[in-house]
Amino acid sequence: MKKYLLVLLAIALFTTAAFAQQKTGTTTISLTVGPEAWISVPSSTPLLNAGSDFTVDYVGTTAIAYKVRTTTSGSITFKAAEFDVTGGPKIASPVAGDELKYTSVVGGTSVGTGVTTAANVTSTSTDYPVVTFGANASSKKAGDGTTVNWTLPNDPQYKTGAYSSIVTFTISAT
Amino acid sequence: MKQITLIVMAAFALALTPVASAANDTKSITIQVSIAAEASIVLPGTTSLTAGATAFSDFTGSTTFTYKVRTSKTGGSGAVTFQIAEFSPSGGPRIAGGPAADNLKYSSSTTGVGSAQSTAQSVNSTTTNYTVLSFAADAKSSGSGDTATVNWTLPNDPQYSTGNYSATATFTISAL
Repeated sequence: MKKYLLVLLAIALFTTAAFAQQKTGTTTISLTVGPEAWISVPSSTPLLNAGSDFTVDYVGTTAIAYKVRTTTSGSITFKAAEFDVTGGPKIASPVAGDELKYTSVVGGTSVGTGVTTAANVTSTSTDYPVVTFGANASSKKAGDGTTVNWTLPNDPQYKTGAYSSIVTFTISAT
Repeated sequence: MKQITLIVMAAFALALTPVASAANDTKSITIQVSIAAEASIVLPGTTSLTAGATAFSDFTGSTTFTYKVRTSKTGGSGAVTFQIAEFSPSGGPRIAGGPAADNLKYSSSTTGVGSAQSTAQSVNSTTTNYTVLSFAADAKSSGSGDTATVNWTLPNDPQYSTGNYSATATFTISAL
């Protein structure tokens, strides 16, 4: 019997080094798409008179680009401030027959309903509708468009000069 | 005569004293370990995409995950990839079959080992494995793991119906 024992301890961890190791995990990507609205309007809209004998009104157009997504409804409206110089056309309390008028035409493939019958603009505090949107309305990715056509009677009582009124458009979606 | 006997016995006893009691012995053992390619990944349960303050700005979000990887020293490689299922419900964003301009896009970055996707990539298939990170031979994470981020961008198309949408992305990390 041997007095001294030889102990050889070999710890060998033989893992499968030659095989690919692979693990997986998941994440859920989530988002909420809500009603949204965007509008772009030109900085100025000139009203021009093509005649010289008071037989032709001042007319002009405002081209509006917009994007909208609704759940229930939406609209584009405007408010018009009073003309900046007295003695010319007026928004509020104009002489009968001198009212600023407008219609709106929604582009052929655009979403929304315009104002086809000319409406008078006789208040600086009223929100006048331009386009209305129903439930689940959605614009094209590139955006939609509408045109507001303005008509201002050419009253000889207007003093000569330059007049301007700031019109503020608002688009909303719910 | 008695004295002679004692002397002989003492001499005999000295002869039996074990010489080995003062010697040393050394033996060795061999510990062997085979370090193999390995990989692990930990992801958040959800990744929220949110639109910016500007109307119809893109939905964006990020998925930050941790990973550990070790690839073979010679000839090894590895990757983090993902597959993504279709969005649910319908009527909103789509992974497959939507307009190219509406494709979900991603890029990735890492503070650890691996090469990321610095250029935005379109995601337009539910069966493709999209690469997030790639590992070369002898790639090794830090002991506590490395951190990477996937940045997502989803165009905000007005055509999407309002509502909540989700898609499950399955990430896979592999090491060889």
